[in-house]
Amino acid sequence: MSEPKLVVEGLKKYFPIRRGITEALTFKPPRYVKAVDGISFEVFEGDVFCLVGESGCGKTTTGRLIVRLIEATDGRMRYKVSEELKNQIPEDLLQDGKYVDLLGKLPKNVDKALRKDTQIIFQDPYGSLNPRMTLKDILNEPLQVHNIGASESERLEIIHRALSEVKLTPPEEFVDRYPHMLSGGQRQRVAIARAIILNPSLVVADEPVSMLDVSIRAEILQLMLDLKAARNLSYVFITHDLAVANYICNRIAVMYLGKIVEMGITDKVIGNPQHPYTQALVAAVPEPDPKNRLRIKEVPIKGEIPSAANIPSGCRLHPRCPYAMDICSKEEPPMVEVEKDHYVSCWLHTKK
Amino acid sequence: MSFIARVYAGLSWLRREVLSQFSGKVAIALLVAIVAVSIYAAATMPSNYNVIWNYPLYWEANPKNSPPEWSTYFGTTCLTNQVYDLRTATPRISVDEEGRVRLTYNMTYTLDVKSYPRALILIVDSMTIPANVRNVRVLNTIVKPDGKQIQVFDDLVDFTKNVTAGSFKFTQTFRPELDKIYNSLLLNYINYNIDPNDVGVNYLSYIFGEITQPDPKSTARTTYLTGRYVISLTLDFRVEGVAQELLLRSIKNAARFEYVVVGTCYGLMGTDYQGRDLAMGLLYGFPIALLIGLGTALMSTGLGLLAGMVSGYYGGFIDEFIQRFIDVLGSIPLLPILILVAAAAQTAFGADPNKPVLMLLTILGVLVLFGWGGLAIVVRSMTLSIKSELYVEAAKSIGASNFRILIKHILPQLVPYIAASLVYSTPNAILTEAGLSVLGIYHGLPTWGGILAEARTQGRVEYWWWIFPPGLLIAITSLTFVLLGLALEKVVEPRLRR
Repeated sequence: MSEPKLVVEGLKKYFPIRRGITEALTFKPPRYVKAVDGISFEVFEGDVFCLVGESGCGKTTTGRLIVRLIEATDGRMRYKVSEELKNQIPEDLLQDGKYVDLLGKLPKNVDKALRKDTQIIFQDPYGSLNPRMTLKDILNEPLQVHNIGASESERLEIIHRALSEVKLTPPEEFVDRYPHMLSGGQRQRVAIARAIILNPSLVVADEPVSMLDVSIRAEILQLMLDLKAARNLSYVFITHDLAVANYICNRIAVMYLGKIVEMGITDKVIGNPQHPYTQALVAAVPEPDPKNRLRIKEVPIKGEIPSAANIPSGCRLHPRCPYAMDICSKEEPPMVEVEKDHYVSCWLHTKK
Repeated sequence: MSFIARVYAGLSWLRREVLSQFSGKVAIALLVAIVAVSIYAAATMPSNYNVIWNYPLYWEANPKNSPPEWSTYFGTTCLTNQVYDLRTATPRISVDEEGRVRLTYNMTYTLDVKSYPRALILIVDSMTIPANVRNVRVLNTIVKPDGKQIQVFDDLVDFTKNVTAGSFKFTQTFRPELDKIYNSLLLNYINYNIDPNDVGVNYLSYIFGEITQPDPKSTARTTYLTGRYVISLTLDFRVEGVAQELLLRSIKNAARFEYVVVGTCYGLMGTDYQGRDLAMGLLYGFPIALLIGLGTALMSTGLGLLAGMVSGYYGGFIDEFIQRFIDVLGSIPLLPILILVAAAAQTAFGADPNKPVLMLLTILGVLVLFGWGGLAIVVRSMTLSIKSELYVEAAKSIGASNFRILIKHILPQLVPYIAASLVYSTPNAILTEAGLSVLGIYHGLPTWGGILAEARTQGRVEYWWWIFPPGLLIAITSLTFVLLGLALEKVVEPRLRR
């Protein structure tokens, strides 16, 4: 088995809630939205690691924390650096000879080099490309920032190569276009090209196909898998769609209200869900069998996801859980291994 | 190179868009005219213009408070200002054996309207007097159409005190002397009963009028006398040795040597209470107005843009500090501050020859200081919304610096708005400057507002040539920029297009 590319331990992100004047005057403690509340996982080299969960569960925040668009409140995020990158990093920052804590204080050049190595693809290809820039400008920006390519013509060549890699051919026809001249799928290809043009080793893909037409989702997913094979990438793939997750991921983590509730090999988690929440998610996937089209499926959990500012005590699912017990509202369940490479955080599976 | 090409393409697109609208066409036409006049004015402006404008001697030979010459077409009796440049005239020269050099200039003056000239004046400015010239007698007589000869002045100027070493620059004005005039009137009109007090007040009517006395017991009266007058001016130099050639050369090289029959009308735009040529003030007001307008607008827009972008992008303490600072600025009343600052500057720059320029810069500085807040607030809110765009996050994840994001992603989106704001705040500065001048916060430079302000302090509403032209120019210039702003607004905000 390969080594972990990224080890996340106890990652937390609390967003403070602006206090009203009465709250400030009465010295009430400041309140937080606990978007990510202490999650741990490992992404192995060559993995497609999926984070799934419904809206507001903190999966996008996790993705943004990994590429350091926002600062974490607490936790550790150890990142394995490649051999060539290792030379740029001072000895005292390296742990076990190859891991760097992304959340620690990093010198400017190290920070820049690490940003180059981790890239993100956003959900919305309509918003992630500056409408006032041509594709050439958009793809030139990362090259300029990292001083790649000696001359303008050399950079143009790199841009052409990246565009052909994402199947926008012939590239000469695309470089001078503006984003509004492209379809959604083509835009997402440009966003992917921008992410891979710097030769990263870890790419966070934040729901990269959920805003695309269903007819081209598979194409984009296949393109991402091709690129992974060709460039030896690891993905952190964020999605709310179990079908997509099933298609692309080899490992999966299910998130609920800022916590990971179930994690493991995709086939095991989706084929044999152990947590009530995962079971509900799997049950909600439409069945492709026409014989079942008239049967109304019973979804085991009810109600809405609670606010992340007002998290239930104990197990976070207990107000919606059909199997809730006394202990569920009192104590948080620990993460236990139910079978090899399959972890669940639920009192039902905890041996007392 | 590609950057220049892109800017050029952007500008030509903008020009096309602006010109496609009627207000844009008018604005561009007016703007081209204003800029052309400004360039011409700036090129021909004397370097010491602000000193000349406030130097009364320079304007001495001009009629005061006079309407323009073309007002004669509207029924005003108009006597044009007659200037004889004696540097280029050829005098009759006679040299006697005692060493006197006598230069006689004969000028003819035709009075063809029923009016009297306002004044007679001989101006000598910076004439080099050679060392061996001891004194000069300056003698002026006028022969009326009816043959009577009146002596206007007869002065002896002694150089022996001044010419100590080498040569000496001679500057003096000569004006009619009442006793000389009265004496020659007595000589010429023997049986007339001429009132010396009336001569003292209306001597020009005795020189340029017909004197009648129907009844021997009454006092003499004057009426208009049109016809050809001969003005004769004699310079009688007392010289030791030969100096004729030297004298003629120094007359040619004098800064000014002219005899002026001051009329009742002047030039293209008339004159103000000091006899200053308003055409000059208005013409040179063009570049100054543009400088005030564009300079103030550029600086306050630049400051507002910078503060707004920094405030919106960085947020936190800087944001809070800038916004509260703007709140404080906004709650300070501008007018009292301006009055105080102007008063302080008045004393601070009291002795400086460039005081008017420094005063103007101080006033503009205060306007800039108080003028950027509103824009900064708008730019901040725009920056806040652009900052949260996904493509800005994408740039951050690439590793782009804050500076790069501000320049490459945020600034280009602000530019159209900034351009419109710049265009709108340009007339604002011109109008504010004019308004402040009229309120008495005046720097002394001949701006359009300044000319209006002096018309107000002199308080003569009937001097239309002094009030309407600067007012109209201010209005037209403001209109130009407002129309341009309207056209730009439609380009920036497509929803306004029909």
